[in-house]
Amino acid sequence: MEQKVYYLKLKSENALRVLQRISTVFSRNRFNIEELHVKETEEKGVSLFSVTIHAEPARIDNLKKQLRRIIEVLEVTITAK
Amino acid sequence: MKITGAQALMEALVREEVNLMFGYPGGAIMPTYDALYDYQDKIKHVLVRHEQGAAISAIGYSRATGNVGVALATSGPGATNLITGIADALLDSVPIVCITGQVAAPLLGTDAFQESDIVGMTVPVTKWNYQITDASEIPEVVSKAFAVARHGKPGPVLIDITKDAQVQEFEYPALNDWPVFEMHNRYRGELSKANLQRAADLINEATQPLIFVGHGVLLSKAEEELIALSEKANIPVCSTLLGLSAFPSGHDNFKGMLGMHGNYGPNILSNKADVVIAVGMRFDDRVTGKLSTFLNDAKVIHIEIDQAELGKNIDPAVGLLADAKEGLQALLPLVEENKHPEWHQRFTDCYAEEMDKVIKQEILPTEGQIKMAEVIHMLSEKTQGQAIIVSDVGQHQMMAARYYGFERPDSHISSGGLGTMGFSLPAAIGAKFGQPEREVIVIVGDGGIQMNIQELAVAMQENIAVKVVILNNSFLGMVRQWQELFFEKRYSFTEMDNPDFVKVAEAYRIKGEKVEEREKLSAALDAMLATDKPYLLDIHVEKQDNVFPMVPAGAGVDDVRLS
Repeated sequence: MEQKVYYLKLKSENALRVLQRISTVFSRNRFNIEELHVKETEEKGVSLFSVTIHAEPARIDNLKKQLRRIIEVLEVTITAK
Repeated sequence: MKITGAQALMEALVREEVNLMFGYPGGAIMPTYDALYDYQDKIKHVLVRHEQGAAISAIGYSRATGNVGVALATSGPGATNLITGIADALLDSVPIVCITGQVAAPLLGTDAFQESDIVGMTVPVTKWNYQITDASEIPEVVSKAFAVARHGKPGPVLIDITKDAQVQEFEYPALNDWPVFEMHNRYRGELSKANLQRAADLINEATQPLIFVGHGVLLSKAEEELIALSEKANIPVCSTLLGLSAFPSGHDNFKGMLGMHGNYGPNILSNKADVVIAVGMRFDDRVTGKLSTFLNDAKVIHIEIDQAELGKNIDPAVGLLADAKEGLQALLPLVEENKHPEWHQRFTDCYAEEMDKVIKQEILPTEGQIKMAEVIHMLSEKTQGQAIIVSDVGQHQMMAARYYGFERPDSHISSGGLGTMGFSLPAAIGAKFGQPEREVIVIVGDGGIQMNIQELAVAMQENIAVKVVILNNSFLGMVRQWQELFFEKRYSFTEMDNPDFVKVAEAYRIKGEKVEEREKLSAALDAMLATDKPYLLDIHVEKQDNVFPMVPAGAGVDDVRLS
């Protein structure tokens, strides 16, 4: 199936290992991270991850749900290019 | 008052009502073991012989009781040996908390002696994990660990505590200041009335409804609600491997097991159902077979606690994000009484065919060597379906699942998702500690028993009366079966030359008996059941027996083979 470009915004606790937890979800599903940016938001202790991936549209819903399983992840939004 | 991190850990565990843990000491966890020495009246510690045994015993304890199981290990190899058990607990949704020692914080990242990045290694196989480097974190982190392990879909949590944090003193929180972590589920709202009504309408209008029972029914203790729904609307019930014992086998509405080695009717008639109510199960590939041909004519009502499971493999007509008990309780008043005699008759017909072509020869053979199924069948009759059966992985596991008639909940303990060989003995030890009044019987192959055979020493030292039944065919039987059916009988490294298991047991001061003849089987099982001590039976069974029915890997459930 045709791949599309997706932009993900993840809000999470600003803590050790969160990047690994998130990246593990991508890698075990064989999504390559094309672009990644992480920064603490204005709200102290909350980080914002911005991630770009290429993916088949049918797989995005499940990816989102798997990311939402991570205890430290507070919010996930995904938009297509 | 000041206390050490290790003492705080003990206090925190007592607050979580932990009274049993399985573990193995070593350098980096020694301060914790030293604190444990003073807490032996509150927390019983069972010394395992391999850390994998600790994690799996914690699983067995949890699955027999519903409580959180706890395993304790040192850093490095102690910690890495836990990983198989942790991965098992993740796939089978078992709440366990593993606590590991770690090298002192200043040594982290230096390749210190017995340093391993266990937190990094267990990220993919835990619900949550955390490294404590400061003793004052212990009360809250332990509280959070247990909350995460229990909450929602249960699972494993690992806490790694550096050695210096274990000895560090800190100001002990006053009783009422002790932090209690509470989980907030961000993805669960009220069950919407509209969704419940849609589900009930589907059930009420169905002519061929079917209930699939998963492990979630046992985890949420929804057995009564399940029986009520099945009886009210007269719906046949099929179980996944892990759902076994949630619904009594002797009940008229119970039709057997789904999946690769499930019963004929449940497999072939799944695709004839017009409505399927899937309760606390996740449509694993061993259940669905080829997904594109599974349940194409059915509307699926999926009651599931994990949002990530809804729509993962099967798109439900109605998804109810709830634990099995809540979901069934909400649904029950909306479901009307009904009767489906013709639909039930089709299962009866399928069972008669399976009985004729498979079961009869399996459970009541009159010649040849002892068969696995006849041992299980006899055991089921002798224990009247009341025992806890802890099986390993392979042919004997499928035989135990197929031919033991489970009549009580939490009675079938097996490694479903991960398929962990070596699971049964340590899991049974954990289960027996949790349910000392119940008969706990290991069903294991000659391959699986040798993967954690050292745990016989635990049964010996603790005099814990697990009964071990080895169904010994001198083969890795399930792999051999696949080689026979799908690899042109090229038996590549599946035949085993085994030790004398009765002598091995004897070395552990455990009594046992070798059984090779059908005439001696019944008396041998009686002798095993009569003792209140650990016991081992080495039963030599037909070497090249196969498990049928079988849905070949990648085939649809319609293609289930009876031979």
